[in-house]
Amino acid sequence: MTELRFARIMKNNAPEPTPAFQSAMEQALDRIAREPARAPRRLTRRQMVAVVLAALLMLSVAVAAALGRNVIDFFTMGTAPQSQGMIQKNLASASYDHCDITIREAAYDGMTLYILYAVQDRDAVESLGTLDPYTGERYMEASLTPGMEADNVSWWRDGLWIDGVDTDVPGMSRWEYRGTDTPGEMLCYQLWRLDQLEVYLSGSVEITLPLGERQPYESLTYDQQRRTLAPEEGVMTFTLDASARDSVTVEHPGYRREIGGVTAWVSEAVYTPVQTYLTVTYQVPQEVLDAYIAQRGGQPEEETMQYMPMDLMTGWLYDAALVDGAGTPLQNPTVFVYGCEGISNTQAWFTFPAMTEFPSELYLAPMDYATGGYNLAKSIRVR
Amino acid sequence: MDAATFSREAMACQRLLYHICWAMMHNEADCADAVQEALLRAWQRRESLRDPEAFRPWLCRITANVCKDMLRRQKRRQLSPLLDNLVAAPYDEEGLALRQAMEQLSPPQRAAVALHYFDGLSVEEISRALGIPMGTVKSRLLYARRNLGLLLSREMEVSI
Repeated sequence: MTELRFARIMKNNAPEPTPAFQSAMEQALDRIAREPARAPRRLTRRQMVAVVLAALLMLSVAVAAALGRNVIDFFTMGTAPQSQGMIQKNLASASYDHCDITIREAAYDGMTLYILYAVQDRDAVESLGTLDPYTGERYMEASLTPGMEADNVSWWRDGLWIDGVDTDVPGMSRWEYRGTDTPGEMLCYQLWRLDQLEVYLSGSVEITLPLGERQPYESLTYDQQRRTLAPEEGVMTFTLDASARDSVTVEHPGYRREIGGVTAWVSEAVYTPVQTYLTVTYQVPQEVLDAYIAQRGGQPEEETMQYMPMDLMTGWLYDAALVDGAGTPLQNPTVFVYGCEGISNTQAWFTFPAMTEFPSELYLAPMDYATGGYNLAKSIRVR
Repeated sequence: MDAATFSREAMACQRLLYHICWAMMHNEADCADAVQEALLRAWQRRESLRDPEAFRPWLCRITANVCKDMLRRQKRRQLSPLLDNLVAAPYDEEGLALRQAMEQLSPPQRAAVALHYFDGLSVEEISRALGIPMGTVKSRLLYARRNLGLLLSREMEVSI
C-alpha cells in the first residue's frame, strides 16, 4: 500500500470528538470560569519576607540545577548520581572573528563517549533557539550560529578521530543542540555509542573533532587502509582519561526463554556508573517466520515492506522494562529516555539507569496493557 | 492568562486532545475523565506557560501525562466500543478495516500514529506533545505505519 493511500485512509477515517468528550471539556471549562478570581492580598511584613526568601531559594535551586546539569545528566535525565565525578572540563578552545568554541565537557563510562561543546557568538544580543515553556529548553532548528556561518566554521564531517584513527558515527548515537539564556550561546550535547563499533577505550586517549574551519574534502589525506587522516587545520584535539572501562562490570547472563516460538536471552549486561547496558540476542526459527508470513497472506511484493525476524519481537522489545522478581519496574516511568534503543534481526540494545544495588532477581519484562503491570510470564531473566 | 482565553485556546485544541485520549485510553468514559483532569491541571499550572504561542504542545503534554497516570492507576481494562467511533454511518469498509488494524497497536504507537496522520503533527511536535524522544517517535511511526499498511491491505484485500 502506498504512503499516499495510507495517509488518505487515515485522514478520511480520523475520529471526531464525541458529544460525551465535548461535554466533558465544556463542564471542566465552565468550572474553571466559575472559580472566584484571586483577589489581591495585602501581605504583612512577615509574609513579605517569607515570600522573598522563598523566591531567593527557588532562584538558587534553579541556578544550581542549571549549573549542575552536565553532559551525562543531559542524556540520563539526572539518573546517574556519580556523573559529576566523571566529567572532564574545559578541554580545548578556539577563537574566530565572530565566535569562540570551547570543548566544555567530556566523559567516558566504558561504553559511551560524551562530549559537550559550546559556541559563543560575540556580537549576539538575543538568545538562540525557541523556548519551550513547559520544559524550559531552547530547541534549535539548525546546528550553526550566525557567528559560525560568518566564520565558515562548523562540525564539517561525520565521525571523529580517536588516537588519530578515523571513527564513524556509531548507531544509537545522539546529538542535541540547545540555545541558552546567554545571548548567542549554543550548546551541542553529543553521545557516541562506541561499543556499537566494538571500540572500547582505555588509559589516556587523544580525541580529535572535525570542529573548526571547514576543510575541502579534496584536501583530506588517507592512510593505507583508506581511512581519512585528521588534518592539521579545522580540528580541535584534546586528551581524555578513558580508564573508566577498567571499573565496569560485564556479565553474560544467557538465561534462555521461548516467547511465541522465538528464543531470546540477555547475552551481555554491562553495569557502568552512568548506565546499565543490556544486549538481547534472539533467534527466530525459519519455520516460525514462515508461519508468521503465511498468517499474513505471504510476503508483500514491495521489498521494504517485507516481513523480517524482528517483526516477531518488535512489540515485546519496545514494551520491555527492567523489573524485579515481583514485576516492579526499577526505573521511574516518567523518565522516558530508557528502554530499547535499537533492534536488528538478531539483537536488541537497551539502556537503563545506573544500578548500585541489585534485587535478588532481575528481568526484562514487557508491559501488559490489559493489566497495567509487567508480564513476568513473558520475561527474560537478567540476573 | 484569564479563564476566557484559556477556554478559547483549549476548545481550539479539542480535536487534538481527543485523538491523544482516544489513542491511549480504552473507552469514552476514560477519555472524558482524562480531558477533564488535564484541563483542570493545566489551569492550575497556567502561570508556568510563559509563551502563549506554546499553549497547544503544553496542553497536549499535560493531557498525555494524565492519560499515562490513569493507565498506571487502572487495573482492569474493558476493550472498547471506543474504536467503534471510527466507523462512519452507514457501514464503511475502510473505517472498519482501520479500526481492526489500530486495535493491534499498543497505546503509545496509536498515539504517535493518531497525532501524525489525523492531526498532521511533525515528529518534533509529537515528541514534545507526548514527552518522548524524537528517535522513539520515528521508530513507533515506522513500525506502526508498516504494520498498519499491511494489516489494512489484508483486511481490504487490496493487491499491493
